[in-house]
Parts: sequence; C-alpha cells; structure tokens
Amino acid sequence: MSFRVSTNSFSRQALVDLGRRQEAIHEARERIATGKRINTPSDDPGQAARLRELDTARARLTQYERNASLAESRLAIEESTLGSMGDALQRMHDLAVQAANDTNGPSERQAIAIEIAGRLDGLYELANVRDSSGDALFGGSRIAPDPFAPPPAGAADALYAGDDLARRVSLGTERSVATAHTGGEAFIRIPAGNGDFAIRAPDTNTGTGTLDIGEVVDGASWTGVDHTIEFTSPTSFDVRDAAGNTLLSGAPYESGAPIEFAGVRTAIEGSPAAGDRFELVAGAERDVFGRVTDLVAALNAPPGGPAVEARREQAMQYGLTQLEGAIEHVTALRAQAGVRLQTVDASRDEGAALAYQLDTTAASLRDADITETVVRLESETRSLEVLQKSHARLAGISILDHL
Amino acid sequence: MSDLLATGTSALLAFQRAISTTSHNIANVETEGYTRQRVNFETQSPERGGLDSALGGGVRVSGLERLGSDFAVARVHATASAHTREAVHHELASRLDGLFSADVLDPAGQFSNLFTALEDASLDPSSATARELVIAEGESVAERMRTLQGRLEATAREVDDRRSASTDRINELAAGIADLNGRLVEHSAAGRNKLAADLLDRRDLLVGQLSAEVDAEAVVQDDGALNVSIGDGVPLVVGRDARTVRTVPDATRPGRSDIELGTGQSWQSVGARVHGGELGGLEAFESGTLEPAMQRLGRLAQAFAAQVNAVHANGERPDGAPGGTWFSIDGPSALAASANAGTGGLSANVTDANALLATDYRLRFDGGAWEITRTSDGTRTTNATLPTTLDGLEITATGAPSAGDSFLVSATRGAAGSLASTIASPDELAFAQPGAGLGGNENARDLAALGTARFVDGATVAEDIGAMAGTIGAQTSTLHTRSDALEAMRNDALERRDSISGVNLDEEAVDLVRHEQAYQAAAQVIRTADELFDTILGAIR
Repeated sequence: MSFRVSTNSFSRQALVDLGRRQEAIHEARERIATGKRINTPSDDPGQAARLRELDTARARLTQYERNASLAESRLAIEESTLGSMGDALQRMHDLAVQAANDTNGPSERQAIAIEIAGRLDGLYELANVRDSSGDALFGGSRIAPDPFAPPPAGAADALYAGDDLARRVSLGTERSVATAHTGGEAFIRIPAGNGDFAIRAPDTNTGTGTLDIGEVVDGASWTGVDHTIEFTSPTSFDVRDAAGNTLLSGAPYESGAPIEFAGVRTAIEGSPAAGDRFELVAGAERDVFGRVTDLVAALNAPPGGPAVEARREQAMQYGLTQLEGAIEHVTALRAQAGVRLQTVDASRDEGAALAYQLDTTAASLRDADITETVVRLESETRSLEVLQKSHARLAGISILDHL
Repeated sequence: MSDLLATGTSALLAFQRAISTTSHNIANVETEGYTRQRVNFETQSPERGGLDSALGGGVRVSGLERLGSDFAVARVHATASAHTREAVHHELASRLDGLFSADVLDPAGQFSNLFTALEDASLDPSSATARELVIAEGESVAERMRTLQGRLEATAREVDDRRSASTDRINELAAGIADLNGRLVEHSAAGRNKLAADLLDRRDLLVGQLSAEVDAEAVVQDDGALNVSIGDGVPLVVGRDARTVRTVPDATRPGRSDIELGTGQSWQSVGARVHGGELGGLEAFESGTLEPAMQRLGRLAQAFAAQVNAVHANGERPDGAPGGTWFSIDGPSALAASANAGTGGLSANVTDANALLATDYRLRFDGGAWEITRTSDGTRTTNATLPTTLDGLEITATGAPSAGDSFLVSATRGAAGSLASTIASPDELAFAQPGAGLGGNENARDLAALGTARFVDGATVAEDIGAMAGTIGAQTSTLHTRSDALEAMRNDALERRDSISGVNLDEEAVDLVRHEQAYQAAAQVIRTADELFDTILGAIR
C-alpha cells in the first residue's frame, strides 16, 4: 500500500527543509562575517580546547618577549657601564704605573695622585647608574637612593646601601636571567691580594724588607686562616698561624728566596730588621673604590728613610696588583653580562620562531576556509531557492483546478 | 414504486451526509490535531418479507468513522516529550555555551591580563602605574567572575519561572482533559458519535500539548474516558478528576525546587519521577549543566582567591609589612532542609581550597551517625560524629538535629558571586620578597607564576576555564545532535499519524466529485420513479 500524504505534511516537510537550509546559511554567513570556524565552544569542543591552549602558550610567548626586552635594556646598560668602569680603572692604572716610575719625585707622584683621586667620583657615578625606569642598576632590590657612597671619615670601606637580591625575569617556563649583577657582586666583594689572602706590612717595621704577594701552591695544606711572619733577627724568622701554631721557627732568611708553609709560597726581599712583621690576611676583600684610594694613599706617602721608601714601594706594587685584580673582575662581569645578553637574544629568536608556529597552527584551527565557506553558502542558497520554488509549485497543484 | 422513491431518498440523504462530511474534512484541513472522518454506508434491509425481500431497500449511513490510530497518536506524544526535553536542555545549554565564546563573558582573558600585569609589574616593581594596572586587572577578574555567576543565577531563576509556568499549563491541560472526559462519557452513553469525533481530536490535542510539558501516558477506559499519568506512572487525570501540580522549595534538598502533585491538603513529591518534556528538560539542564557550571566556577574562584592570598602574604609591601588579603570570597554555605524537625545546624569552612571539588554535599542525620553524599558522583561516607574534614572542607554540627534531618553544604556553588578585590592602594601590593627593597620583584614573579601553576585540582586557571567551556561546549554539541535526531523522530511520527488521519485535499476533491455524482444519480432515480409513476397514470388514463 502506498503511503498516504496529507496536504499539511507537504507544508510541514517544506518548513523542516527550509529551516535546515536557513540554519546552514546562517552558520556559513556567521563564519564569513567573523572569519572564524569556531565561534562558540560547541562549534567544535575538541578544537576549541586546543585553541585555548594555543592562545595561552601564545600569551606566554608575548610575555617572555616583553621580559626579554626589559632584560636586554638592563643588561645592555650593565655591559656598557662595566666597560666604562674597566676603561676608567685602566686609565688610573696607567697613571699609577707612570707615577711608580723611579724618575718621579714626590711632587710628581702627588700630582698624579690628585688626578687619580679626581677620577674616583666618576667611578661612583658609574656604579650608581640607573636603568630606563630610574632604578639603581647595581642596588640589588634597593632602587633608591644611590647605592654607593664614599666611606665616611675614618672608615676604609665604601658604603653600599644595596642588597644582594638581583632582579630576575623569566625568559621561558624553566629559564630566567638576572638582569644585572648586584653592587656587592660587582664592586664590593672582590677578593683582595692574590685571591686567597692579602698581605700587610705594619708601619712599625724598621727594615726594608718587602713581602711578595705570594700564592697558595698547595690548596690541600692551605688552612685559610691568617698567618704572621715575624723576624727574630735580620737573618731568621718564625711563622705562626692565627690559631697560635708555630709553623716555622728560626727559619734562615735569604732575600728573594722562596718561603713555604701551609701550602703558601711567597718571598721577602730586602733587609728586614729584627721585630719586623709581615701579615697574611686570609679571605680579605677590598672594594673597587678602596683599591683606588689605597693606591692614591701610596702615591701620597711622604718621602722618608729607606724603611719608609721600602713600605711605599711595597704599597705601590701591592696597590697596582690590586687595581689589576679589580680590572680583571669588572671585565669578567662585563663578559658575563654579554653572555646573558646573548642568552636573551637566543631565547627571543626561539620565541619568535615558536610564536610563528603557534600562530599558523591556531589560524588553521580557528579560521574559516573562506573560499570553501562561500562556495557552501552559494550551494545552500541555491538549494534553498530550489526548495522554495518546488514548494510553491507543489502547493499550487490541486485537482480542484481541473474540476 | 414507492420503494423506488424511498431507495432514491435514502441515497440522497446518505450522499448528502457524505458530502457534508467531506466538506467538514476540507474545512478542517488546517486544524491542528484534526482526524479525518469518513461516512460508512450499508444497504438498507427491505422492510417486508415475501417476494420483495429479494430486492434492496436503499442505503443508509452506518456510521461516521474517525480515521485515526491511537498507536500513531501515542507515538507522536512520546516523541514530542522526548524531543522537547532535549530541545529545552539544548536551548539553555547553548546560552551558557554562548557565554564562554571568546568575546562574551569568558573569564580566561581577565585572568590572563592579571597575570600579565603582574609579570609586567615584576619588570618594574616600583612603578605606580604598573601597580595600579595590577589592581585594576585584579578587580576586573573579580568582576568578570561575579558577572558570569550572575548570569548563571539569572538562568537559574529563569528555569524556576519556566518550571512554574509549565506546571500552570499542565494544570490547565489536565483540567481540560478531565472536562472533555466528562463530555465524552456523556456522549458515549447517549450514542451521539458525530460530535464525539471532534471532542476526541481536541482531547488528543490537549494530551499532545501535555506531552510537550512532561512525559505523559494516556490510557482509554471502557467508558470513553482517558486516564493520563505523568512521569513514571503518577496519575494526573482519572476520569473527570484532574489533580494539580505545583512547584515548591524542595523539603529535603535545600536550595532546589521540587514538584508536588495532589489536591487540597494531600500532596506528594513527584519531582524525581518526571523526566520528559519541558519539565524534564529544565531539570536535566539544572542538574546536568547549570549546577556543575556554577560549582566549577565557584571552585575556581575559591582556589584562585586562596592561592593568590597565600602567595601575596609571602611578600612584603613597600612599607615593609607583609602582604594582606587580596581577594575576599564567601566561605561555604550550609543550609538546613525546611522539613527538618530538629534544631541542629551545620557550619563549614574551607581548610584546603586546592582540594575542593566542584560539588555540593548532602548530609543526613540518621539519629546516630551522619551520612554524607557527594552530589556530583553520589559517593557516600558515614561519620559517627562531626566535625569531619573531606575534600578540603571541614563540616561542624551545632544544636540538636533529629533523625532524618538533612542539610546541604556547598563551598563552590555561589562562591564566584562573592569574589572581590580588597586592595585599593598600589602600596598594599606585596611584590618584594621579605627583606628586599622597592626593587624586589620575586613575589610579583611568584604571583605571576600562578598563571602557569596547576593549583585548580591539577589544572592551571586557563586549563580549568578551558575544561569548563569544553564540557559545556561538548554537552551543547551532543544535545544539538540528539535534539535534531529526536526532532526527526517526532516529524516521522507526525508523518505516520497524518498519513492515517491527515486530510489530503486532492483525495477529498475526488470524494466530493464521487459523492456529488452519486447524489445526482440518486436524484435521477427519484425522477425515474416519478416518470414511471406518470407513465402508469398515462396508461390508465
């Protein structure tokens, strides 16, 4: 038996079909209008979730890019400041070497001392440099006031108002970089002497003996405490450590001959007098500014007898070595800043490549294929027209017309 | 001869009836729920015996047939119930889906902006502008969460309104069916079928409309009455009596609505027994989509506030004081059921916001112990005493509960609506690590790092929002497919029904021509009888 079709079901079927077509047309038009394939999560729940992840990752990259810009700006300031600092120290060193020349008398030395001292302010200025936001670059987390100031009267060490909390920024999920060294690292805590110990000859010495800067040749035997070399006669000396142990007793003295104890090798030149002492100060530190003032003090030392001259000679040589140490330290830090800059650049390049990849993937997920959508819109519109016409035709047909 | 006239007249009358029935069909071609009718004929038995008994005595209308199928009609009702349920659920779910589309109320952007502002501030921690921006972004996170929660609550109110409107319609429809039952029973007793056909159509129509409100099942009784039950067999109309449904606050599930059925003083809860139609769709949306969405949003708000506050407290403000509370949020709610007999109450507090689950907890005191049900998955635990701690929540009892008393505890459902930023001045932000100066940025970095930290039940904030939107999106998409499929089934059922009972104008036109010709022929019979009579008279004359 054939299926009866009621007159109304014609219209109902037509309504259902027209509704479907119109829904499809609406969807295609929305896609064309927004340019997006996914307009609400339900359009494609799986891909919508992937898109969110991509958006989050992309936002992180944008953030890292901004972080990198800031790191770059601070590191660039640090690199150039440390460069200038190294140059200034080198110039002071050159002046000091010139002053140390034996042909110079006390007045020439004093003139040079004045010039060096005059350049010291420039060092403080460099150390108090500020970043683009006006924060002290070398103050750690203390951004104001200036972190460095000359020692107050009677004190030996420059004042450091900063701290050791370097400002870090993230360059990636697992990567962060300090955007500047702290002032402590850069200019304050520089090991004095040869790095293991500093040397000191008290003003009370009456001989002309000068102590070599020395070195630790056997790290295993080096106990890391202060030591004293004391001459019991012009030809023999004792060595004691800070704990009171006598390491050498009545050792014979020969000018320039190596003296070895507790892993240390050093030497004394000249003619020490009985009762003269030389001290090895373990783990001592001296700030950059102090090293300059030490050298200035040596240059300013008033002339005197052979013992005074020997002490001046000793202080001069020691001061130069210490300044060289400071130059080396600042140069090494500048190199570190350079390496950090390269790291920042590299991570920026990686970020840009990754961002491009993410954008491409996101676009392929999110963006509607406009050509395809337009073609579909046309085909849906055409089939809507056909439906409308055929319905009009069918609805118009009635046997009543023919009776 | 008189027989011939009588035969002709009977045919005239019969075809007149047929023509009028066809006209009735044509007239009702557009009438919703109309069942086409047909006149059935039968031969009229001769009145006398003898020789004449071999000759027919004409025609008469044996009855008016209503060309319907109860089965086809029941199928239309059942499919309407199923389709309406899914369509209502889909319509409401797609509104939530719309909220989560990128440009509307999705909160992911606000959170992302806050974490970005924090990280930017960490680059320049002493900048007042950067700090102001962080405060503004924090406020906009809280505002967005409140707005979203507000929209969800507005939807919940709409669900309540629609539920109560639906029960009103159910009551009208039930009364209408009961009234028609009464009239049909009278008609059936009086044997007047013609009128009854249209009444039956109207009753079917009412049952159909009832099916769109709730799943309804109709059973015809011997006396012609139709008994209607809703849900899983709750009697709504019995003969001429209709019962009433109403929405009331749920007596054992605080904060929820229930549906009661009854009359006068006697009411029974049937909320859990109805599943189809508008009521079923509203219930499915409320418990399957809306409440989980609110709970998820609330859980996110709780975890976010707790985590940000904890990290903020680790830091130091510019004045050296530790960071204070940044985001405030309401603690858990604990509601007592209206049917509780005892004076007991519950209170709850969050002990570990990261451990909170997106669910409510129903507690029932059985006289000795407490039975705790996690509503999201139905997990049950029994505690001899309170307080107890579960899922990051500590629940404490006060007063004297009676056996059978129940309570609802929720740390998440409304929480998002109370999220607020309490920081007004840039100097209240604790960006520095303890002991650091104004340039200390470690705590700002730690706060910014929360953007990628998985503290919301193992997910980041963005992932959790993504999962929330994904759940609603997937649900909406599935409901769309299901609703379309059920609509096709409903249309198919309508086609089936109409193929039996729908009017086809071409068919009726042919019938009209047929009946008209028969009518003309019958008239011809009468004229023939007249001529025969005249002929006989002429022969005699």
